Amino acid sequence: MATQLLMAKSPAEAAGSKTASAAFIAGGTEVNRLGSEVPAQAETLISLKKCSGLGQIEKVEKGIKIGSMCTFQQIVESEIVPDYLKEAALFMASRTKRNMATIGGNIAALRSDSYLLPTLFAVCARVEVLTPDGKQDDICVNSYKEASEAGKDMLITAVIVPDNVKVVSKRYSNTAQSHAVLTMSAAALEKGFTLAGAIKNCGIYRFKGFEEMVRENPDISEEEAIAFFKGADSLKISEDMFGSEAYKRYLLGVTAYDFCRKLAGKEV
Amino acid sequence: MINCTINGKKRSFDIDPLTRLRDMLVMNGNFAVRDSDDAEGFCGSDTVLLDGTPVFSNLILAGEVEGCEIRTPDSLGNSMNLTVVQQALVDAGVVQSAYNAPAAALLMTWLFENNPNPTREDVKDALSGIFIRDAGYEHYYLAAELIKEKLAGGEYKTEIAPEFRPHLKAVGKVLPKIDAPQLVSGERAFVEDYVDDDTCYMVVLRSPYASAYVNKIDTSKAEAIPGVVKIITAYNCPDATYMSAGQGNPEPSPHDRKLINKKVRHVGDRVAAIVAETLEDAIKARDLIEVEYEPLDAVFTVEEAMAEGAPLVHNGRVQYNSGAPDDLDEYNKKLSGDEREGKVVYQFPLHGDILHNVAAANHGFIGDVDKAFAEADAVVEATYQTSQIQHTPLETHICFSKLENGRLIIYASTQVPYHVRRIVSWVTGLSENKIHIIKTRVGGGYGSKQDILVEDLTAYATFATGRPVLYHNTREEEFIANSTRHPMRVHVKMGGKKDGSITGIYLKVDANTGPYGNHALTVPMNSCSKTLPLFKCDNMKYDLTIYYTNIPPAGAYQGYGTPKGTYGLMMAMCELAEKLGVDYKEMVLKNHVEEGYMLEILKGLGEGREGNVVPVGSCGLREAVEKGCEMIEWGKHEESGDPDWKIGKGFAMIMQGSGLPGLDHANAITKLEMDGSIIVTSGAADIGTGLDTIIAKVTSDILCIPMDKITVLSGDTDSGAFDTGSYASSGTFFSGNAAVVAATNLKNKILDEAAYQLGEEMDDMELAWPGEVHSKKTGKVLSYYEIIHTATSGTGRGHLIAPGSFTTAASSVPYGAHFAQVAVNIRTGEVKVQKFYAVQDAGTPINPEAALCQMYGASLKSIGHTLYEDMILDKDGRCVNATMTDYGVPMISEQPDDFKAVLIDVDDAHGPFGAKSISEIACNGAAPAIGNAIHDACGVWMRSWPMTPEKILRELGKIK
Repeated sequence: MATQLLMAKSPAEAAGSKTASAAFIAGGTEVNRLGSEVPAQAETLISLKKCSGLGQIEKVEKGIKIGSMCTFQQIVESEIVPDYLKEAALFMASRTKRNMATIGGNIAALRSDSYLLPTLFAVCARVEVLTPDGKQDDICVNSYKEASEAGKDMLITAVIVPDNVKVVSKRYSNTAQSHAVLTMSAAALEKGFTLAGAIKNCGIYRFKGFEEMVRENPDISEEEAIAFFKGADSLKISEDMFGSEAYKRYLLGVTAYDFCRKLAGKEV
Repeated sequence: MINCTINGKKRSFDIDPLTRLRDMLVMNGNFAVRDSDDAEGFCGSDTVLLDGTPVFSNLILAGEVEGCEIRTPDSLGNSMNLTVVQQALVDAGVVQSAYNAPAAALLMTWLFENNPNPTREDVKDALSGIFIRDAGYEHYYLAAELIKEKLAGGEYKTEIAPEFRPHLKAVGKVLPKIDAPQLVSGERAFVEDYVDDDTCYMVVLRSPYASAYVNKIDTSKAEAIPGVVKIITAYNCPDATYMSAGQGNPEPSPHDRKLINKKVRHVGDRVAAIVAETLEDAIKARDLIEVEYEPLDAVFTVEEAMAEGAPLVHNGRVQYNSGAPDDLDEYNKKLSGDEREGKVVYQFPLHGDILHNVAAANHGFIGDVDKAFAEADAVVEATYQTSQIQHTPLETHICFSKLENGRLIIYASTQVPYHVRRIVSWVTGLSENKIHIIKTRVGGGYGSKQDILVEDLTAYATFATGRPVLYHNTREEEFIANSTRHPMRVHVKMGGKKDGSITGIYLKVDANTGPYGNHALTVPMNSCSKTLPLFKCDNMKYDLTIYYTNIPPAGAYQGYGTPKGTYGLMMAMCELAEKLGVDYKEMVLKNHVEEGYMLEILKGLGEGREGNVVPVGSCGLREAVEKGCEMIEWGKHEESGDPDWKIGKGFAMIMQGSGLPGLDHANAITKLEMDGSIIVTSGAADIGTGLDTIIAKVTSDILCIPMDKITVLSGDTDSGAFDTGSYASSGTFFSGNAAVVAATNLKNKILDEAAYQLGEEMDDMELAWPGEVHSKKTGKVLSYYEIIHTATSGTGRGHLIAPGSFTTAASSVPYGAHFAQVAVNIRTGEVKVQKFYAVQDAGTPINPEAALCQMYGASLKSIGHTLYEDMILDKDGRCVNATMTDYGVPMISEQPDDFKAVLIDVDDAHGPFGAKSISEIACNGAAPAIGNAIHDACGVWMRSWPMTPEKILRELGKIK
């Protein structure tokens, strides 16, 4: 049960204060939200709201660098953030919530209905992190996910996204405000086609097997795409309140096919 | 110490920095920052501006606002001095139940402060984080236009709503709802605003089982907590069997529950109520109660409930207070008779059979349907399934009770104050003169506050402890322990001729009432009684059976059973039209009832009694159908330009009632006050829909006195006289007519008194604006002030007071038709409602702008029911989506792009100034209109709501 609130003044103070019994709060839309287990589990909450240096958006050599405390709304209003990321930020339908939720918080939450992670995965975004011992690092978002899931403490200080790539995204949810059953993004990167998705109650994935299939056969058919996900045993998808396994796998296939076509300049 | 600036004033708080900002603001007196979602960041009732940006204050910790500037809704104008934005919201009619109207006003203020000329998209964006259930969002766009116009030129140019009855000054005119200034400015209005400082808090321990005996409860550890005042369980609560439905007495509902039962019958059922000095102590104590359950098998669907050998939801004994069958003793021997089961008491026979989980049933017919089907050129037969739906009022159920002068004083957010009093009387054993119900403003009801769901327990807690007690449902409790829309299985068989005439209709309704029988008969009955009378058909038959199950309780819900019956019937009719090769519109026009048609089918469709067979009265149905078809360009095929998206159109004719003739009853007392102003004391319960304004308007036009000289006091059982309450669309018709009677009686008294004072004949007197009596003979004039001054001078004839009582056998039925144009993605199953037109005959719309908003609100709500909303239970009966986000209500993003509400001008013979009901009927059309449009778009018949993308894909054969 949280008993202490630490208002960190700097990233170093925040990262240095992170222990197993402490948790970060960024915008508060996840940690302070009904159902969050964080306040019950952590003894100390480390608020990043007064942390200096985490709120800028700037152009850098590798693309656009977005401070981790930048809100979704700042992303939407920025003149330099690429449109594809704005589109993902707008998946959060509530303006009031967009005023609060941060890019760093959304990544750190690693939710299976994440608004931003499919896009960030698809574009192979980089995440700048600071560890409790003061070490700075620049890792890909997928590595961040793996390290975080392994229990490594890191403070996200910034996210770097490429600014010149073609990306398509799609979010499926009951209402605009509902949690998504599926959010998918695909990108046409220099290294080729990438596809990522967040499947509710299943996880966030780069679908490398599908990417490989597309590289081998750019003219993949819809039936092949649907069949791929229907038979993708590595995805442990189950029926829940968001839909049946068959529905989710079907949507994955149809959407993946659409993305292939769109990125190839062929409207579906 | 936390230092910040709130509404321009520096404040310091010595509180735990982990306190939520909203709680800190409420402590500071900013109580208009409300909570509708237990900090879910969904409804927006807790919206404030933090350093100039809208945020959810529940999601921010107090310690995080050190040095910040906070602006709350109460920083805007007060009710005597509204800002331009607040006034525009009032004028546009959106301030209805208004629990988060102050937050909406703050958002609109923020929008205009940052963008003086916002587009429709800007308004949509600003309001995207606020949930409006009552009025929809359409008139917020209108309000934005009004604000622009006011700021630019000082006056409105845009028409707010059409006006009716030019010869009247108030009725049918766009005039502000009289409680709207108070509500939009965030002044004290709701139950939580009247809680005393020394109040105890109550929480409820709820069952984790869908069915179980509570064999033992050990409360000793809980009671050891010093702050605990009382723990109420099945073993120390009154032995009174009743039910929660607030409707006629004796009720057409089985009495089948106690305050707390020894058998829990759904996940969330009451097990114990803990009263403590603080909420924290109450919760702590709840966690320490040890319960020994004996789990039992449960049933969740009507199919399971009706199965041979199914577990019985009620297995005690049956009792009849009248009309008991001769074999009752034999029947009771077949039941377990276990004392823990309690009993089921029927006030009169409802064809219940608890040995087969049947709570009630009804059957009836006219003509010969079998013969009609045999003679038909085509017959369709299909079953339609509807889901369990929650009302989701922004203000969750709440009650505050206290003892004062030896009486129980109960502040209630209720639609039925007098029924609350009656049921509290039953539970406590106090006579009704010892109980005072004060209905506050109601932050959304939609039928859920027609059930007495929290007042019984809260009042008893005060009665048992002598302490003031506050109880407030969490949002989860709204889902699992409240009332919901009955899931129903509606089976329709319909036959027709090639000329489009319908030969016969058979309607079989199996309804799921859940564990208790509140509204068990009346709600499902409406699926027949408010649908079959749409049809000019000589052969109709219905079978209605209501089953007990172990799902969360069902109860009253706006529309009652009508939306479900309408869904089945209008879908079947569309399918029949297609089968016969007849245009659906032409078939509708050929078969709908018209004024004067005798409704024989109503004979069996009373509420547990014989119904009144009456002819159709005023009826704007045909005009509504014609108008809507013209608007939506019926028959014109639309292309999307995208091969994946198919466009289709559909519509449904609809009806409802205006209260229950022969059952409902309303009263008003109108007084001429000492300065010539008027106070009307009404038994009515305005739940935000503008009923008090209706009472003021009819009084104004009858007594020729301006609205600002009239005050309406309502919903207070001490000062008013009996009113059955606001349900079944009765408010305007019954309470409004009672006000008409009272005002007319006072008018006669004023005329008589004026004649007396002038020494003339009453026939020579007439009322004149503003509050005067003119002599037609001598031209003399007396003001109301002069009349009452003389009458109460000590030598006069006394105070002028007039009661008005209204009952009737007459029926004023609102009619209409709802139209939808949808786009369906045939590869993903997604549906977009592109156009939705609600065209309705409401008689004389007394509050036209409020009427339009209610049409928008109810239509959007029913679009939600049709496409998104569904309480999902797991195999153990636990609701797995009991949050606003997971449940899925429509918000501004889901509103159709082209959304119109149109009033058909019909002057009814029986309604007050020709008025009928307006809001409830608007729940009835969306499902069949959208369902038929989906069929038009992609060829599938959606026979289950919500019509989700997955279901559509299954119907399309895309997934198995």
